[in-house]
Amino acid sequence: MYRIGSFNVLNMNFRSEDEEKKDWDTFARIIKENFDVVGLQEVLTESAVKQIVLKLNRGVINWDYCWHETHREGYAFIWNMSKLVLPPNVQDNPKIASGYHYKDLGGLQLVRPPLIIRLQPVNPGEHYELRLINTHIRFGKNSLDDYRNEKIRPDDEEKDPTTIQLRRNEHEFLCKRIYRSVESWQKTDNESRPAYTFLLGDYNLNIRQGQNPSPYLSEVIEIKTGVNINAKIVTRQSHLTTIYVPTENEKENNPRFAKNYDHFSYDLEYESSMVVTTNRINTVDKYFGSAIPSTFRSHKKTVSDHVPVVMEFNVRKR
Amino acid sequence: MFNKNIPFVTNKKSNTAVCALNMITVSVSQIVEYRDSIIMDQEYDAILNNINLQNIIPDETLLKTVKQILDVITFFRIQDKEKYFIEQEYQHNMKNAIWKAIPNIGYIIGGSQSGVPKGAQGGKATYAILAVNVAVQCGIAYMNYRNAKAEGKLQKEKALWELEESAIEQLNSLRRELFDTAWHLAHAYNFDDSLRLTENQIKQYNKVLTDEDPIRRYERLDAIKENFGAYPPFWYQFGHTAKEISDTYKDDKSISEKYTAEALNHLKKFQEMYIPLLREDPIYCAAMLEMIPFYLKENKKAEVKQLIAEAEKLSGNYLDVKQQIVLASIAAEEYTSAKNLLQFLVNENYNTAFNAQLLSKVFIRSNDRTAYKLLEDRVTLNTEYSVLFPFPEAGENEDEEFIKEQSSNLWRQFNIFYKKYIQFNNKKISNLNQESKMSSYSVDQYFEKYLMIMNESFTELINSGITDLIDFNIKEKIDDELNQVFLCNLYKGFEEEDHFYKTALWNDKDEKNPGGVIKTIFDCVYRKLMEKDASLGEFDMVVTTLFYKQCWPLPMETKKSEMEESISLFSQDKIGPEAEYGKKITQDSQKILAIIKNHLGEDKENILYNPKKINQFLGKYGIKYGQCDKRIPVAIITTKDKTAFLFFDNMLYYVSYGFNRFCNCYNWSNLDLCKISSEDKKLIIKQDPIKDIGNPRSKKSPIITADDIDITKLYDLLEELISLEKSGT
Repeated sequence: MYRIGSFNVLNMNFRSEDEEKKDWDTFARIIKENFDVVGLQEVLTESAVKQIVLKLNRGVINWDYCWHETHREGYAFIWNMSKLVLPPNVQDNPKIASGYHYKDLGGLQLVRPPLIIRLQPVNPGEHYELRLINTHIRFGKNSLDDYRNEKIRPDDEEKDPTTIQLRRNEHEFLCKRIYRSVESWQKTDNESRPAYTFLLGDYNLNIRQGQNPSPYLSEVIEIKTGVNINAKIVTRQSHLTTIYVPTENEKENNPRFAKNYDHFSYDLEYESSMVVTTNRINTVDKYFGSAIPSTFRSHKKTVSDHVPVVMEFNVRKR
Repeated sequence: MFNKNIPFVTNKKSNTAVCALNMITVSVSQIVEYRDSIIMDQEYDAILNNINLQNIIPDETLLKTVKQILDVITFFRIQDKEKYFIEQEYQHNMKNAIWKAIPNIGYIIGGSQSGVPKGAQGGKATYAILAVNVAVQCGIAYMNYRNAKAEGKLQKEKALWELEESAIEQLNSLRRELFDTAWHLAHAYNFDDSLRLTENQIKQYNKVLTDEDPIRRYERLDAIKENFGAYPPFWYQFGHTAKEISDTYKDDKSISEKYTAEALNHLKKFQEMYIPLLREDPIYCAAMLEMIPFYLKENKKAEVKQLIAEAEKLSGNYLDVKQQIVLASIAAEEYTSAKNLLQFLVNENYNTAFNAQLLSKVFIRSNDRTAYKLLEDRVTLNTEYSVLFPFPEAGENEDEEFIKEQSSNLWRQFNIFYKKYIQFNNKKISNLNQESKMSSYSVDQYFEKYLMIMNESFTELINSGITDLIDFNIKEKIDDELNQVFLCNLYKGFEEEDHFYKTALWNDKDEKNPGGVIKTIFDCVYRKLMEKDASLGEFDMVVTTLFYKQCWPLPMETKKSEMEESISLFSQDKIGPEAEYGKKITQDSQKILAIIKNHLGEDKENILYNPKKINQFLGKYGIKYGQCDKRIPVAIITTKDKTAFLFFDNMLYYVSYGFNRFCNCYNWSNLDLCKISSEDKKLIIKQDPIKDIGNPRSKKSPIITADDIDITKLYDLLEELISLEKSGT
């Protein structure tokens, strides 16, 4: 069984701003206790992720990482080397997705092309490969700086049908083009390990379920994998994962979980032959005591405005 | 030697290389093909983990791939507990088959003096030889499981043992690699590449092996034999199939003799070309064992002795093989080796009761009182009663004593079991009693809830391991006479002596009809057992033989006259035209319904269609299918609010026989009645069942039982069909 995580770590860098100073120990604990491999979004500098890995490897060196920059942000993977390793003889791994034709996106490019990693189990009995696509789907049509400087309020973007359509397009493109091509990549070397591919990350879109707010994504996207063969890419994990902390002016509202943005997507077929479950890890509860206004605030300040999500994946059914 | 057209190399090293390679590739192909975790496990134990590759083919690429295959299999191997059940079931089946063929276990040992079974040819066959024949026909566990699998007898287990998709995917990829990397061995070892089995050849071979018709299978094997010059197990299968034909046609001398000769030829060929690649080899042992009956028949003791020695040499840890060798040794009158093997099996706790009994008989025969005493101490350690043949004092007959002893054992065992069962439920039942008094349940309501508790707890009981308390192996074979004596005692226990049962089964109505409740309970238990058959081999003997099969003390007198009445009602003049053409429930048919219900016992579950009971019903009262030319309701579907007939000649018949003319294909193992297309429904009602009745059933048309289908949907379909037929479309 492998625990694959995804975590938007909110502008993680190594600057010591008094207001938002990251708590590296907590990050390390979260990763150590919950994941075998985790994909991080919004990692602004390599030194930040290095800092976490340093903490993780205190004592025994067990964890490895990679970091790649895309459009002023960065993706990272951190994985437990005693369970998963980079397959030998594979060039360019991990790598940023490139070389795709974007005509489906109306001429626009993916705002942050995903980071793809290939890993294989250390256990020789598990003769397969994992391919993880780490994504952070665009938020709006405007630049990141505009939000940072609060020129544009996030709520306005949510109401704008064009930006929502852009997010959906990206999701669809990730499934139809990138997932499809990663899945069909050449097998390693002269081995023929079956590969299991997963898309994970911050989608900026919600699954239509329960009280989840809009905008919604399409939970099932059909892709063509061969002549007359279609696969269904399904998106899972419908718990709320973002933390909303009201501004000074909205004191009547309490901090709370607000959006269901963090997901995993994969071929629906996997569910019929393996055990795949997804969940949110309530790190507010787990590492800050309980989910009360003050802990929401400190989680956002010292960790992130997202909580991580996890997918448990087991090729053994019984 | 071999046919000229079958290529074979004489160079020993390359010969070994190509045989080993073929063995591995076939092994992995069969795992992928059968998609069954038991078979994967067998292949792992028997071949892949057993082959001494490093010494045989020191080829690094091949070794690496095989190591990966072993790793993947290890990861997906099944639990020991699951294996235990399969093993138990096999032991149980073999034992039962021997019991069926032989009236008393004592007769196996004792040579020809002990009696000659009826119909034995030339008076030479003893019961021991009969036992060997039966055992050999059962096969060893390795072959037995895949034969059953091939013949589709394991429907229920299918889901349970189905290999995970991810395992197949991984193994399949490794298999391809094996094919890809292995060809260069042909060059390295300089063997004729045509000896190397290709993917297609193996696929075809696997497919042929699953052919249910032995004659066709034989012909198909004959057609591909040229490809198998370097794969000895093929020749075993070839011989085995020939033997199967000769067994099937044992009444037709010319066929039987022809195939017996063929079988022996092929098995000999197997022996000739066999290369000992494996440390232990169940297939080799099976081949040796299958040859034994031929020689026994001709009284060639030296050859038998030789074969026994050969089989024993490679039997390793295969206790099932050793069990068969024991029987063969007894038949060949090799008592010393039989004794040693029996001792080994008893110590390994394999088929303990059976083997201990045989062993005790051997000791009695050689008058070895000390050994007998030691054995007795060992096997009776956990039980208070002896399972062994009693050591006879002067003038006693040990067989008679044995039967007496075993009958009282059974009685005690049942008591233990039943008390445990009731104790297990005591709290729930007393709760139910309270509840029923407070809400003044009707008897029916009480009954329903009571049965629910009993049913649920039976599963729990089994899971809790309570069955370990009772050694079910003790209760082996009981003949009919014994059953009756035993059951009379048992019945008395309920009726008079033991108030324990009555207090446990609180029910006023039951006072007047003692045993009725218990009968119903055991019907439920029986059904549960049927469901769980695979894993409950040890229960089967007890509950099916003792508590279900016609042995419950039913008031037979009244039953018989009722049955006569019902049979006469089935005759032409008693069934009204309404019932015949309109399929309405008439007075007469209601009467029939009542009688059948009475006979079958009213079940509170939603279905009463029980193929076993119906067969029993039809068979017991001499109704043959051919005579069912009128509308006979052979099943009653009782749902919560409705009761309806299921007519033999429409629903059952159509479902079982008629579907092979359908326009669409259906998945028989998991038939969804909702998915039967409307055109096929029309086909169903257009068929003429009468015309086909009595004709032999084609092997291909599936027989569907209530276990296979969703019964509410069946009911809907029946309704629909009736209205379709009525409307005349």
